[in-house]
Amino acid sequence: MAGDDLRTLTEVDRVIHEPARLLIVALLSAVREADFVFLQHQTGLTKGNLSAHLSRLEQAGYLRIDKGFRGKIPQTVCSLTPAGRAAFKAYRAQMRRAVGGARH
Amino acid sequence: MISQVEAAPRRAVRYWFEDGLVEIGAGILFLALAGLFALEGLAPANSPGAALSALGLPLVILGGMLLVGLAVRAAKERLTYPRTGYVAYPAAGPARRILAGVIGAGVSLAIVWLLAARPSLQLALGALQGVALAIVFMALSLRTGLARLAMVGFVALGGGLVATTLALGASLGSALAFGAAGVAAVLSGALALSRYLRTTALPTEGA
Repeated sequence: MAGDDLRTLTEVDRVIHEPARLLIVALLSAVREADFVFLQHQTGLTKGNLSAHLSRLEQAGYLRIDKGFRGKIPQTVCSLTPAGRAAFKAYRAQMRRAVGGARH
Repeated sequence: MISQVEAAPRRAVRYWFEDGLVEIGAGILFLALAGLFALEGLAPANSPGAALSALGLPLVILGGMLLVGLAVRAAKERLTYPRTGYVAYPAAGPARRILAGVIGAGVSLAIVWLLAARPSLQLALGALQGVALAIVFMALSLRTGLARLAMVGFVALGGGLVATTLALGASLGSALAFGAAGVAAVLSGALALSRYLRTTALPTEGA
């Protein structure tokens, strides 16, 4: 059983598994939506790097990106889609099983 | 990495309190309540002051919560969101709201019943309110990891205990409990806001 749990690591969702994207998804899982400035501040990523990861999550259907304005200032607001939330929940469960199995 | 993933949602929740604005708003509301309770305790019966305190309580609670909420959001739009970003949190679902209402009503009824059954307990009302405020702030502190919120809770508890020890009575005891919490929250929030503004910068044009 413990071996099975570890083997599932080879089937992990690689879109979420990437550390920067994992942090982005983890942050967004606790909120309804957050803007680019918040995500950049919390992750410490450069603008280009963060943009690339957000695009990847959007391509996977996990993220919704809305571009608009806050007053006169352009704003990019991100939120997890239902698929994104489900994927993160499944990823966390998978990692807990794998880490729990590795302890024995 | 697992611990960082587990900590990230907590960081997102903590963000709402990092600038200290919510504490300042809550502190101002507590001070308004303290003023009203003090007026109730000091004003002679049937005086305009006594009438004002009776009428003012629901107005201060409901109106105050609305105004403080609007003021905090406006301050965050101006000070916080341009510096460290905008976040919106999910609204509580109907089940959670109902549960909160039931718990609030239950606690209120329990206190009213206790005070009716044991009028002498009115002298301990300040302590009871101090305990209630302490529980709220301790819970917030545990949820956000911000120790300063626990300090505010301790001060509220201290204020309530002092009021009960001095046998100030229900109104003045409440005034001291809420007043202590209010002063602590405003000071704590102001220090947090000062630190936040010093350590964060507005983005430069074109950045």
